[in-house]
Parts: sequence; structure tokens; C-alpha cells
Amino acid sequence: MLTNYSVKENVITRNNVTTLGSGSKPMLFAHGFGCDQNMWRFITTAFENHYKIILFDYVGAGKSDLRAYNRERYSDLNGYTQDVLDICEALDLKDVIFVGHSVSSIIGALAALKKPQYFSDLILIGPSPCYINEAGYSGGFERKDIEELLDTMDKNYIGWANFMAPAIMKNTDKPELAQELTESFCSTDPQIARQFATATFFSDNRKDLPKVKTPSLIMQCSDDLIAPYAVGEYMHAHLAGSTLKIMKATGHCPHMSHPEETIALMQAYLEERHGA
Amino acid sequence: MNAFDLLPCGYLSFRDDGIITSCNRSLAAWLGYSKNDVTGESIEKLFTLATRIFYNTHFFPLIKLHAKAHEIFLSLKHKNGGEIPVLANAERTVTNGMNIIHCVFMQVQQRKKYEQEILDAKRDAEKALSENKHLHDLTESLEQHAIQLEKQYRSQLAVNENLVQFNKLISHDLQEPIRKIQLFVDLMMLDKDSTLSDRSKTLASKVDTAAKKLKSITASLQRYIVVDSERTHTQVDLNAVISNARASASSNRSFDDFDMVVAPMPLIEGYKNQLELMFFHLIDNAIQFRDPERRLVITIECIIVDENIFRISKERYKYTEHVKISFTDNGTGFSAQYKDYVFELFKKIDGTSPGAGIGLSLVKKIVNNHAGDIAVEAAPGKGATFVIQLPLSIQWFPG
Repeated sequence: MLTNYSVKENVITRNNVTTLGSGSKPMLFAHGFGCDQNMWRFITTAFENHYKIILFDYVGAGKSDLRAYNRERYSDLNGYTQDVLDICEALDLKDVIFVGHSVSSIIGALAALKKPQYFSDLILIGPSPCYINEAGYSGGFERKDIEELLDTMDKNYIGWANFMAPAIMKNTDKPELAQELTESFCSTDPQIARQFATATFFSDNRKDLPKVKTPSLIMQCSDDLIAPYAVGEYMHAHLAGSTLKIMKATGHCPHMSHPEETIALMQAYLEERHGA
Repeated sequence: MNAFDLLPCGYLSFRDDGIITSCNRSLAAWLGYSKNDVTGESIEKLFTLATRIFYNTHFFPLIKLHAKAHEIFLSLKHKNGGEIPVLANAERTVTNGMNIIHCVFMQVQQRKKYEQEILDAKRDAEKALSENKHLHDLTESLEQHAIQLEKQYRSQLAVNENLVQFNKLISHDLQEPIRKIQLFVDLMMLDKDSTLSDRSKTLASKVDTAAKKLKSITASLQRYIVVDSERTHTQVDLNAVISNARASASSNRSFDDFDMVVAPMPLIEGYKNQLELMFFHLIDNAIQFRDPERRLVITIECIIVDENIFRISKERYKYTEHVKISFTDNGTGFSAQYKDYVFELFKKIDGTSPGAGIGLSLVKKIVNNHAGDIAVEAAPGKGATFVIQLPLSIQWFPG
């Protein structure tokens, strides 16, 4: 597939790719909606000695290159999937262990569907193939709930709406301004955040699950509002070669709230798949 | 009752797992609870659904990563379902070795209305601005496209004109001299009064062979060009296409002693004869280059994936459904260095094999005519896998 960022350096800057760790097997961590690569810092240290760890921000999130944001490309999850594939291509990765949180679980599954040769395993934390309730399927939300979420997001951006003008964002005299905004909501642009929210919560990838052949671990939290238990079971039933683990951890961000349990489950799975 | 309970703001503290460890009376009362009702419950119980999502995706990650979150707008939920808009300040501290998040809430009923008005006005303004900019950009890019189109159209016309001439040249002008060469060589050989030496006779027969080859090449070229004349597209059932192609390839090679495992194929919009020809050449190729040491097995698999239809235009994205077909044989295969070479016209890896070397270049041309993509992976002695992606819908075809 043609991409304007076929040059390695461009992808690395564009997606703010960072690599750490002293191992050779690549482990690619993909953050979810509302955050950036910083969210992984509670668990990556546990894998640093044995893996090559790759972190990145999707275009529009964290410290990615905002100039590379393209409304058309990022209007659905395919554009985000292309980010992942571009990174694999740029770093010449093979047999990657992909670790995705929330919406990145589905992005990882789509990437593995398009380019299976890049991936050996998918570790999916709180995945959901469809957030909206549909006939015969309970995703957990109605459309109006998501509209309200967009509203809540807008209200939380209002305080610094004035800073959002692109001219100011490009103002190199005040880098701390962009820095502060980035750190506040992991995205400097409310419109981008809104588009990511829409791409995430209105996506329906149920039909893609049965096509994925890459082995996977589904990590399902107890009492997760965003990816309820029934959704985890649905994922497991439709994703061939998946292992379902129910966590004691509650909420939607076990890698931040319960890092020890998250690390232990990942290690146990990887040991079973690839040996100690 | 202490001052803490009487504060005109809500307070609560909770752990990383969301369990509330304490709260003040004001907060409990706002929500229609007693302090005891609230303590020990999950903080999510006090939020509206939208705020719960926001808490999980933004608020909690923010506190966890930066140990604080200030001026966050949230909606609390009254016991009876009513909604209470608040601004929250939260900070995370370690107390007695335990992580505790302290959070104060300020009701913003009036301010919310005011902010809503500002927000609506801002949205309208942004919408107008963005539409305006969008229109402006569109006008600009339309003009650029029109110029580009004009250029492409002109060069396309020239190319077409060349092709027409070329086709005429191959099918008429070239045929006549070839026919004459063959005829005169025949006459020469059959001439009873001939005093040709044996060496001259050998040379004459070489001229005859070369003329035959020339004729076969021009015939192939003609086939290569004539493929494009199919102008009507229909809903094509790939299952039927593949089964017809197998029959023609078997009969062409007088060989039917092989297995074909074909997954259920979808209907796609396309040129039926071309698609049949495409599979004919793939199967024909697999039969020709089968490994004599083992029974030939051809496997055809497919999945539907979304791919960007824009291949040439930069920074344009439109993902549409494509069928991705994997055509695998267990034949003699070839080295990876040939993976582009095999699709070139009149290029053959094995120079001694019969045929003009047109099959795979035709396959590639047909894929192009369907706005698709083709690539091959192969290894010597192992076989080859052709991966073909074709859009399901006609609207993306060239021409």
C-alpha cells in the first residue's frame, strides 16, 4: 500500500515512536482512545529485559506530528490501522506481539487481518468489536450515550478553546503551551479527539473477527463499563485461537490501575506460547 | 457535625480501583444518599453513563499519570436519576502507604447554561469557518484537478491513438510480410530444381522457425491488446469463473490429474471474460510449472478487507471493501528475486519452456483493469502464492 510516509524516519517522527528494552522479539504497545503511549509506563519495565519494546502515539494523539493529521484518513479505524502497519514496515518488524488497549485491540486485529505476516500474537486489553447495542447484540451503549460523551468532552475543552487556533499551536516561542495541552488530555486538538471518539464508539467490526487467524489473549476486566463481560465473551467466541482471561481488576484501564495482575497474565500467556 | 460536612462543596476520596473511602455530607445530600450509603461503593455509581465513559478514558488516566486533574467537567447522578453538573478538582496522594485520590466538586448549574450557550455559539462559528475553509480548499483543488485531468486526458488520447495504430500494425501490416517470408521459404524448400546446398537448406529452415516465432509473438501481442476490448461489466460469480477456468486450463494442457481446493468466493463487479482469463492463466501456469515429484494441489482462499482505493493520489483516503484472493500452488516455484520480473511482458524465468511469456503479464493487466493489486511470494521447490486484491464495486474501475 502506498503511503506518503514510506520513509522510515518520517513514520518515527510522525508517530513519535520510541523503542526501549534489550530483547529482540518485538512488542508493540498501542494506546487507546483518550490517552497516549505514557499509559504503558506501569507495565513496560516488566518486559524490558526480554523484549524490544516499541511505543508510539497515533497521529493526533500525544506528541505525534499534528501536521500529518488527515481527516479523511482518520475518519474510521482503517486509518489508525495504517499507522500500525506503517510502523511495522518502517521498523521492518516481524512476529510482533501486539498489545492493544481498548479500541487499539480492534485496530490490532484489523492490522493482523491485513498483514498477518507482521504479527505472532495479539494481546487485547478490554476489547470491544462494537460499542453500540444492535439487534441481537449488546454492546453496552445507545447512540445518545455517545453523543453525551462527546458533549462532556467538548465541555472539558472549553476552558482552553481559545488556545486551539492552529496559528498558536505552531508558535515555537511557546512550546510549553502545546506541551501543557498535550499532557492534559493527550491530544492537543478537540476536533481530533472528537473524531477519534466517533471513529471508536461508532465502529462495528464484528464481521471482521472470524477472519483473524493470529492467536490472541483477551484480558477482560471485572465490572468494565466500556467493555462489559458479555462483550469479552463475544470476542472470545468469534476470534479463533483466542484465550479469554477474566481479571480481578475492575474498570477499563487494568494496566494503570492493576499493573501487577496485568503483567502476570501477560507473562503467563507469553510463556505458554513461546516458552520462558 | 463538623465544618467539613457543612462545606458548600462536595468532597470524596477514593482508591485507584474506584472504591470510595470517605465523603462529606454535602455531597451525599446532593445525590440523595447518606454518607454511609456512598462509602465503600464504586465512584462510577455516582456518575451518569457519559461521565463514566469519560472517567475511564480521560479522568482516571489523567490522575494516574499526572497525580492531579483540575477543572474537569463531570455530571453526577442523583439517586432518583437527576443530573448534577459539577466541576471537579482531584489530587492523588500516598497516605499510610495507600494511594488515595481526593476530589472536590463544585456545582455549576448556572455556569453550565452559560457555557452551553458559548459552546453552541463556538460550534456554529467553527462550523461556518470550517465549511468556508473547506469550500475554499475544494475550489482550489477542483481547479488543480481539472488541469491535471486535462493533461491526463490529452496524454491518454495520444496513447490510445498509438495503441490503435499499433494494433493495426500487428494484426495487418506485420502479418503480410511474415506470411510472405513463410511462403517464400516453403517455395524455396519445395523447389525441385533447387541447387541449394545442405547448409543453405538448414539456414532456410531456421528462417522458417524464426518466422513462426514472430507469428506467435504477434498473435500473443494481439491477445494482450484485445483483452481491453471487453467493455461491459456485470456481477460476476467468482465460483463459476474459477470452475470454467479450470476446465479450459485442463483441456489446454490435457492434464486433469490435480486437486483444487477453493473457498467460497463472493460476487464481484467486473469483466467476466477477463476474470476467467485471469484464473485460466494462473491455473495454466500452475499446471505448466508443477513439480513432477508430487501431486499438484492448488488452494484458493479469500477474505474481504477494507483497503484505501486511492493508490496514486496522495493524502486521499477512502476505504472500501476489497476481496483479497490468495492463489497458492505447490509447484516448482521460483526465487524471490523474480517476483516483479514474472509479470513483465515476454519475460520468462525458464527460457526453454514453451509459450511466449504472456500469461502473468495478462493476469497483471486484468487486475489493473479492475483497479486491483497483485503480488507474488515464491520459493524454489516450494511453490508460489499470488495475492490479488480487487474492489467489490465497479465505481472505482479505471476508464
